[in-house]
Parts: sequence; structure tokens; C-alpha cells
Amino acid sequence: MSLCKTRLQEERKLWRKDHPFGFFAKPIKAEDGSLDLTTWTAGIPGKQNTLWEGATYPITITFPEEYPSKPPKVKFPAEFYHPNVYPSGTICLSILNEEQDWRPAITLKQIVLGIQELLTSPNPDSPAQEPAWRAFLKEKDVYEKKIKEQAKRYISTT
Amino acid sequence: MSSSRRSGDFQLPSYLPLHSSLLRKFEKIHSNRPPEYDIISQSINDLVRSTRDYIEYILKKESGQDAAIYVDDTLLTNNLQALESLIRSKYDLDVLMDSTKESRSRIRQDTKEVQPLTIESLQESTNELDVGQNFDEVIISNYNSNLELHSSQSSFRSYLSGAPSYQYVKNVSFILTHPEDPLPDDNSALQTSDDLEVAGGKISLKDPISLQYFKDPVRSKKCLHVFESSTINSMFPDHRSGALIECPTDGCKAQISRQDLEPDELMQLRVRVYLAAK
Ligand SMILES: [Zn+2]
Repeated sequence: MSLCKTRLQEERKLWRKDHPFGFFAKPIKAEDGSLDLTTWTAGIPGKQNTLWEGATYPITITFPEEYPSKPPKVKFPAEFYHPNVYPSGTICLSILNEEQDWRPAITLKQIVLGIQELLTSPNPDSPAQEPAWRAFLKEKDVYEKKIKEQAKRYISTT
Repeated sequence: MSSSRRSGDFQLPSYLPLHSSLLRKFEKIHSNRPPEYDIISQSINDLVRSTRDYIEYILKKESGQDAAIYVDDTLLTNNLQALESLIRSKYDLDVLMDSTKESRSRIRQDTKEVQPLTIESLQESTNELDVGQNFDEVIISNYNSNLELHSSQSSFRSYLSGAPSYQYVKNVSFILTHPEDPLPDDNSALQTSDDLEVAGGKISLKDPISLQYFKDPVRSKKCLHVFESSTINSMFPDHRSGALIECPTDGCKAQISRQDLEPDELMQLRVRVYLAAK
């Protein structure tokens, strides 16, 4: 079995055994009903007492064949409102960048916790979209309003 | 001492130089290690070898036979105590040999400085009071000062912890009974920092790349991070021997090559013992 498959099976076992509170993550079902371990859907809960609380934000995680040598690609839905998310939904985060801080030992748990952290602590030095970046730096009230609106769209079901 | 010059009341001087033929004899006897030394060394080697054989036996077992590993605590403890006593005896002999060596060069020095003792020079020797220390006094005083220097418990302890044979048997004994725990009082560089693969005080027995239990673990000499041999080797871009990659552990700055990887027998032992007990 390939390293990619082996690792993903272990990641799944580990996640099912133990994962951070409020998160979910699971491989999608392929057309034939079997599990496709290379594509997962997951939910990131907004931290409490922040603009992001009360909602669980959906992401799609795609693992390349070279995983874990190369990082997975992680996306929010297109047009997601955040300074470090491209219009396509792709997340710009150093631990998800092969040229930057990605290391094969970084686990799924570390990734989702890193994304949760990014929601409330954007990095103004690597803008990925114009509207949220500009508002975050210059129009705090507009930024806050947009984030709260977005939270309503992804309200947590539990 | 004027009385010693009176005829008829002859007295030997308090100091007599060692005759050169006796000195040579003395040097000859003590130029080699005492036979006990080799016997002790041999016993230490035997003890380490039997421990090594036992570990090899465990590691060679097919995984299907894992359940058969039986660890005898008392045996391990006695084994380690026996080794400590042997090393202590060797240490004491070392102290004796060192002091004899010093005595030898002092006596040789003293003997060179004075005339050999003859009837003619007797008168002169008698006049030169306390020119030297007698042979036995030199040996005893040297031995005592060496003993004082080395006999303290702490100096033996540091000698003991520096002895590879003792460290090996001690570590192996510990792992056989505590496969998931970090080695106690291990002073290796990374043990104290939090980036070692310790989670909740336990050592991870899984390869951080495949997340599976180690089978054939190798350790990076540069940063002491441990990986499964096949997965870390698959990380290298090509077969050039000198190729460097970043250590796959997040937060580790080390650049490692294939040559930096060495088999980690202790980790292998941990996994075997842990899985057998499960
Ligand atoms: Zn490392």
C-alpha cells in the first residue's frame, strides 16, 4: 500500500479515537459507495467569545498522491470572507505551504486547529482577497458586520 | 644522629636508596596490569554480551510470537547490580594502578639523584639525612592520596554513568519494563526540550510520517528524531548519497542526509515489548 493511503488510514483511526471538541472530519463517499480517503470534508468551529463563535465553517481537504511529502490542499467554500482566503476558497496558511512550514509530521488535528486559529488571527502580511483584507485593515466595523453575517450562514447545528 | 657515627654502635641510615637491580625488578612486576584486571573486564564483557544476546533474541522474534516476551524484573535488577560491582572493582584497580605508576616514576627519580649504596658511600649517606622517602612510604602515601581523590561516591558515579556497558544494560533493563517512558536521567541534548516526541510524558512508538508503529526505526544523528527506515528514505529526492532534506518533524530545523540515519535499536525494543504486552 502507498505511504499516502497508509497514513490516511492511520489519520482516520486517530481522528475517530480522539479529536478536538466541536470539530468533525471524514473522508467523502465515492460514487460506488466506498470511502475516498484522498478527499475529506471537515468542520471548523469558530472560537468562543470571538466574531466567529456559534458557527461551524466547512472545509474540503484534498490529499495529493505525494502526501505526506506534500501538504494537502484546504478550501473553504468559494467567496469565503477572510483576509487569507483566496476567492476560490483556498486557504493561505504557512503550515499548508510546501515552500514554507509544511512538514510530513504535521497531523490532521494540527491542521484543523491551525485553521481555527487563522479565523480569528488573520495575517495582514499575506492578503489573499481584496475585500476582507481591506476591511480588516481599514474598516473594522464593516469587517465585523461581514463576519457576523457569514457566521449566521454556517450556524452550528448542535 | 651523632651516635650513628660512633664505631661499634653501627646504625643504618634512616633512608636507603633502592638498589637499581631491585628497582628494575619492581618496575617489571608492575609494568603489566594485574591478572584480576583482565578477569573483571572479561566478566563485564560477558554480562553485556548476554544482555545483547537476549535483546537480539527478542528483536528477531517474528511479530506473531510477540506475546511470548517474558521479562523477569528480579533478574534484570540483579544483573545491573552485578555489573555495577564489577565496574566498581575495575575502578578501584584503576586507582591502584595509577598510583603505582606515579610511585614508580618518583622512586626512579629519587634513585637517580643519589649514589648507589656501597660501604664507601655509607658514611656519606648517613650524613645526608632525609634525602628521600623509603620505597614503601612512597607507595603507601601515593596510594592514599589517589584513593582520597577518587573514592568519593560522586566520582565513581560519574565514572559509572560514563561507562557505555553500564548505560546500555541500564537503558535496556528500563525499556523492558517501561517501554513507553523516557529514559530516566538521560542527559542527551534533546531530552530536556519539549520537541522530543513525548506526548503526555510518553514516547511515541509510531513513525511520525506513516503514523504506524516502528518496525525498523532509524534515528537522525543530527536532531535525534526517529523515523521508520522505509518512510524517511522515501523522502529523499533521489539516490545521490549526499542529498539533504529538512527533518520531517515540524519545528525541527535540522537538514539531514541518509548518512545521518542510524538504526535505533532501543526504539525497536520499545515497540516490541510494548506490542507484546498489549
Ligand atoms: Zn529533527
